[in-house]
Amino acid sequence: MNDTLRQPAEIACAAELTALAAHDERPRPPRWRLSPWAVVDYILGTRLPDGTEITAKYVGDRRLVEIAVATLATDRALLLLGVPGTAKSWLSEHLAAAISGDSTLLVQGTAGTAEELLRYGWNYARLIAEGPSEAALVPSPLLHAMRDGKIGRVEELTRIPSDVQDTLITMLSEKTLPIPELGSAVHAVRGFNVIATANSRDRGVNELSSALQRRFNVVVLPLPATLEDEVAIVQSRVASLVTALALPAEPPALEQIRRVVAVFRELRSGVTEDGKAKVKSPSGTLSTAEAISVVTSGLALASHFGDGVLKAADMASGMVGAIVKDPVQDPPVFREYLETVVKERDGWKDLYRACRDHLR
Amino acid sequence: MSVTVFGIRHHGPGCARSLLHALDRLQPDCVIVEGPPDADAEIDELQRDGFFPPIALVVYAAEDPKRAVFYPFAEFSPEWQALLWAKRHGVPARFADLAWTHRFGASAEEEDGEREAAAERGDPLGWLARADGYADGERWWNDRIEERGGDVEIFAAIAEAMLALRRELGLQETLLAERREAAMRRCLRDAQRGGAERIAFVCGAWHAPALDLERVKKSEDDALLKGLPKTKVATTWTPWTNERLTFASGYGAGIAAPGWYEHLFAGGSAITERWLARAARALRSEELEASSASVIEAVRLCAALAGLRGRRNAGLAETLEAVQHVFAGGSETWNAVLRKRLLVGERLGVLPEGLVRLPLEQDLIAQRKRLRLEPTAAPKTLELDLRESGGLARSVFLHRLLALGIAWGALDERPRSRGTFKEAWALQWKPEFALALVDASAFGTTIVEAAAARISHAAERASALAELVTLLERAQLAELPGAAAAVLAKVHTRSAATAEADALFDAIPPLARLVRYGDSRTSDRAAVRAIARELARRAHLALRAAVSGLSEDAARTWVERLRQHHASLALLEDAELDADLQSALLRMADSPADAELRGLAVRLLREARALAPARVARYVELELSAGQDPLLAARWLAGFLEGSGALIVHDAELLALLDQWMAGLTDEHFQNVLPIARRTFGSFPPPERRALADALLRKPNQRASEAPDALFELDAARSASAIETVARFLGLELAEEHR
Repeated sequence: MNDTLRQPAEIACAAELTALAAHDERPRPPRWRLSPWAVVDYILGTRLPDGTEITAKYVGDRRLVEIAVATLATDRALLLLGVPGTAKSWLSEHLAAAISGDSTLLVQGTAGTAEELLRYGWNYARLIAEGPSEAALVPSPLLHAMRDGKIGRVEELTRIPSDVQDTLITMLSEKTLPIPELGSAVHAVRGFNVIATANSRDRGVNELSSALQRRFNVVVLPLPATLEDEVAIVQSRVASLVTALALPAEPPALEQIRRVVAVFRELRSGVTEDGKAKVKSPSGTLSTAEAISVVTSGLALASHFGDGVLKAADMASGMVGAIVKDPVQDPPVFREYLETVVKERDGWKDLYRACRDHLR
Repeated sequence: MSVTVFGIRHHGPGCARSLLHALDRLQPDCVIVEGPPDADAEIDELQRDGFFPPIALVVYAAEDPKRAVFYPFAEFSPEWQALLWAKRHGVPARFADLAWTHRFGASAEEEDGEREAAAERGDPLGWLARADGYADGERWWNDRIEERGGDVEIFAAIAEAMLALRRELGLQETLLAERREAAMRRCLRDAQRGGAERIAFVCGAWHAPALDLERVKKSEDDALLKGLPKTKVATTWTPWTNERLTFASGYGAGIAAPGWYEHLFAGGSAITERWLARAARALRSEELEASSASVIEAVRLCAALAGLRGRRNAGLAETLEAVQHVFAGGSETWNAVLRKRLLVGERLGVLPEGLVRLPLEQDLIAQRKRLRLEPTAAPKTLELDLRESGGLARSVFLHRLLALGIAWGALDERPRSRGTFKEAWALQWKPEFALALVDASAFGTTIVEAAAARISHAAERASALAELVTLLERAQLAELPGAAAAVLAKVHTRSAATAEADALFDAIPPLARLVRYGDSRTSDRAAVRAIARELARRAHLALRAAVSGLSEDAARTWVERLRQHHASLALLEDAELDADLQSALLRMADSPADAELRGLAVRLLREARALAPARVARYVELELSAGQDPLLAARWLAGFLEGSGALIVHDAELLALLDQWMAGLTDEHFQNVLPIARRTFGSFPPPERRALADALLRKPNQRASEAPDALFELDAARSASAIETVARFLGLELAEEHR
């Protein structure tokens, strides 16, 4: 077994990518590993003529994936926007893996991200010793992407300070990065493009300048549309995480996952799934990603401290932690939900008791 | 002799284009279009110029115009293009279907049955769509048929597909569907007998396979069509709007995006590019950012998406997605703008001058031209000054249309309270008014005559007094003296038979308004005043019985009603009535009526100076005395004081009584009383509340004497001469201390 905790998509799904490439006879844009059709198939899952099963990486609207792929094929940059936990980074990674075979040309946006990270930096020892030279240049992941004609990724674009963000404009519109110190410029090779992700709910974000915004086609990723979609997402991600973490627990019962997802959806939307009762929403986002982590941490508890079978008690602490983000406002909201909704549901007594005990 | 069947989709722009090519090639000598044969005569009208779709053919039962069907035609409707082709080439055209003469006879249950059967069958195209890997039939048809270039062979393919579909599905057709197709075949046989050599038959694709004359014997059709009921029908053309095209009607389902279909039908090169440029212009017209650079990017995205989805050209879905993801930053909020400006559009159809057969409609057009009122599909506001003859005439005209059930203008009710000579109207012409006109024609041939007749008719059937009074108001506003007199007579007899006090009271405010504000119109105010007086007297008599034994909520509605009534009497300015109300209120103040109402009665009496201050004080003392339940006392106070505290601010004696009562309450009682008291005092204007607080903060002994020098510190020496002068003016003797 490989010791890497988490492998990049192009390695984890190498077999699928190879199989798709083998069957892909449609035209490919320059330096794309797969045709746009095959990329869509890779993301949404399909069964190849030889019986190879391609798993679905993204569960949701086919339209959105098509628009994302078509955007990248027209050499326009793609901005994936959405509330936390809507699989923005996940989709970005798999798109880069399928198109360029490399999802690692990544810049993580933070409040401290400097221009050097987006453009290039210097090896100062060399710079001082030899003066500005090609050898002293430390290229950013995006500069690599430009030179090799690959997809570069920028995560959390809106967390980067605005003046630094605007460094991207030249790269995206001129497809060129001037290096005045060397008196030269790097011209992007065909196949270069950028996928950025941004959080539409985050507080303290730096708005995109409209000049930069115009360089992107924006795809807003929605929360999963139906309970079944969301349960399917949680189930498949938990299964792969359990393998990665080598947890000895049994795979969780669908019923447990369904309950966590239902609770999260109801609290998020403010209405019960049957549409009959209103509930208050807590301050947290309660994303699908959080539901996944509640189930995995529950599994870890069950396997290391319990009997290896996921029970309500194992999930309760994770659920309370995910739901109660504000120590003052959230406990009464969750308590009211427990008393009015969870308590009344058939077969939910264990969950009610476990959550109530944890809430104290 | 040949018959060529063109299976189309109603309102399909691609079909329409292909059809024109096909007709040019076929050169038929007879064109038959699926549609109501009752309206064959209307096709002849098309010989005139000046038809600009969207327009609709109306077929209605002559005796009962409410039963009507509409066949809308847009520029891009294949049926419309077929009719125009026939006109251009001088070829006879006619409709074929089961005549509405026979269909109006069907009972409501039969119709429901048909509708259910149709709903059960669903969309048969869905089967073809699924076979082709599409989720819904609409989209499949758009992709495969409408959004491809005009090619003639498509009709053979459609007919073949439909034949296969009908054979494979083997659905049981409803009796109505069988009859309709039999009637279509009969039309076809008639045309053949008439000597036509090359017949072109344009019908919904589903019917195409059924028109094979070889497969069905004439006798079978005759048997199907025998002995059907008959109803007298009439037909006419009427203008339509794009908005209306989106609703389901005579030709089946509505279409979601008439604007897009128009664009497709107009054809030409660069369809996507021009459409997206138009989208950008539409967005810019609403001050949204849409640059040319974005249009270029959107076109590229459309092309890439169409390629990815295996289509030759970008369809509506791709263009909308491109707008959303390139222009609008991924959000859907701009779609509403696009829908209004581009997808649907605000087009209103036009008919040639003089193509109006209903005398009433002719009169309407003549009048609106004279008054310079243009019908528009988009809403528009109009301010009228009733002091000008032009403004008054327009107002009267719009009120008459309202009386006819044609709500072209909606009167903004608010300004009425502000002024009596200004009216604000919101005008919007809707195609369904054509139907209302047909309906109203039953009442007369001119607007004024029909409006009067319709009001009198409604008055005959009205039972409630309030309804009659509303009609009376409408008749007066529409300047229909004849109708007004008739309704007035009805009000008179009806009021005598009305015993319910609430109905009597509610009828008075509109009448009072008529008397007071009727002066910008010529109306018989004396007669209305007489009725109002009579109603008011009877209402006053009924008051005491009506307000006894009321629940708290009912009492509050009565408080409101009495306030309104009081205001209405002020409009009438009739001293006798005022006195009448006062005696009624006096009776109520002493009756066991609800506390709040009794309080209100004392308040109104005091305002009218019908009670001396001493009597008022006695009432207050009595109602607030220790033996009274504090809650009831508080509610009495609410009726007495709510809205204005001027009464107690300036009357120290009353204030003292109130203060005494409030201070004497036990803690428990005080808590119970607090909400009502808060509501009462909270309703005072802030300056009054401040004055009240000031008065209460003064010391009790000062308050009792209320001497002026307690309020101002006067310098006796310096003011002495001024006081003396003023005293001389007023002819007063000065007290010793001021000398």
